Amino acid sequence: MSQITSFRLRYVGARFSGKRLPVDVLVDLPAFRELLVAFAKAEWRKLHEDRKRVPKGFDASLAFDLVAVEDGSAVPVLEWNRETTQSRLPGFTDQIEDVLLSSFDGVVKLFDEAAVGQFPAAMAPEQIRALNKFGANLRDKERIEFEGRTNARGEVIYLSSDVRKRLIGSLRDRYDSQIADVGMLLGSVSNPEGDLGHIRVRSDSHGAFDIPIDNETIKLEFDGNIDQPIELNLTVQLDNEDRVKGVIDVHSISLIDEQIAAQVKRCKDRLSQVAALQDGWHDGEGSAPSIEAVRSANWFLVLRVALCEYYRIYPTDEGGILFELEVKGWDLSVEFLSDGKVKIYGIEISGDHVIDEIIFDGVDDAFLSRFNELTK
Amino acid sequence: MSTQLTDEEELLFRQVHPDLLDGDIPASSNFKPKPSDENMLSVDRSSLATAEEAFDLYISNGRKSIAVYALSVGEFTGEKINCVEDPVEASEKMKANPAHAVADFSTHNVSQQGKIAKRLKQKAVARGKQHPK
Repeated sequence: MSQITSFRLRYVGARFSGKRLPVDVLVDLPAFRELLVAFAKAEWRKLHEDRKRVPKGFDASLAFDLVAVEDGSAVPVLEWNRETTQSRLPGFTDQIEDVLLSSFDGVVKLFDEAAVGQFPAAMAPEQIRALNKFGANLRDKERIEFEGRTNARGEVIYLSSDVRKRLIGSLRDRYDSQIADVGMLLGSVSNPEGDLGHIRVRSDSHGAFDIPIDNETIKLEFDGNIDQPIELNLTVQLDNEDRVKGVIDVHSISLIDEQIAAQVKRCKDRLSQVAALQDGWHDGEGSAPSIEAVRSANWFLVLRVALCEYYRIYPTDEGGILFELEVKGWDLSVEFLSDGKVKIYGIEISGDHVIDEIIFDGVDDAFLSRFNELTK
Repeated sequence: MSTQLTDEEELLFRQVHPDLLDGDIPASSNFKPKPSDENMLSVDRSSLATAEEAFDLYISNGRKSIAVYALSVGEFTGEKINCVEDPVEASEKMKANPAHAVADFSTHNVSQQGKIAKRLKQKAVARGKQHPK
């Protein structure tokens, strides 16, 4: 074969517009390679049942180069490096290319079937490990489309955070995800025999768990603050009930003021009350808030807890959730629409200026940046 | 033909649904028409009913209200919104409401209505709850 073998991953979501590829998703590229290699090994073994192992150097022979990031949502293009295979496994190049393409078929079929709730009965631990890394930083409403690969219904095959969660959950009952939450500090333990101790926290959404922290930080920031509210932004391993089973990465942790915590609770309670409304809540009219709207509103709440005292929360007739707040001389409305998009608009309280409505794809960087501009 | 309200000082009562009040602050959406209202916001004229009477009648017709706020005719016309009489006759399901009137938002698109509703809410909240006191 002389054709260049390449793979195009289209990242879809507001974060990826204009060829933008956030740094935290770059880890997907080696993770994608790892996934293909895991499938290629299984494919090789299937083709060579007489051999227990893949040839020495098989893993290293599968190298990929990032050759472009194309526009129209970020589309990193990964090209298989044929020369590396030729040099490491001379004589096997065409066969390995076939295995590689077949493995890619297997990967996209896996995601396509998972999207409609069909999960494999079992997978090799190596494949599950690789699967657990690929797409770990996808947020709600974001997905990776496999360009040029469509299913029987003619739809482009994709991996979304939701499909990923269900697929991995079906395989190993655990998956990795980034969480932002407000919890309670239950205790802190320094480790005299090492640099790392841990704090123990509890959140309503994710249960009680330990977070590794260096001894010095524990001493300076957390000792003596038991039962204080704490704001968390972590990458964690969750089980199928979204309880934290392990902390992978700590993005930020900070104690927050008790008054803010009380306001967070007030907002969460109010949001739960609004989320529980049924169709017809408004004297026979009014749609129940959609799951997407509730999810977006909850995510926004934990990402912007500092302003909780200003939020007033209401349902909308169209199945959305409306936050209203008066801050910095503006009366702002942030509306989480039923399709997960977010609308923001406002008026000057003591003046004639207005903020015309802007609609964002979701609670994404662009929205949060605009919200910050208006409130800080 | 409906008669336009011209006394700019006259207050017009607006009922607030319990789910559209958070603490003691009503949503701005109380002060614009619902999608099914066809751009007409229902109000009751203070020259023909007290806030309490308007509240009681509204509730007795099977609808929910937790508070009554008020805006003047002049505050509506300041937003280029005409207010017109719209008395309701008694029917099998509804009691008569001779004080009923509507504020006509039809010259404003949905986006503009959202911002107007916020300005009207500011004025209504500044005036204070009319019922229950």
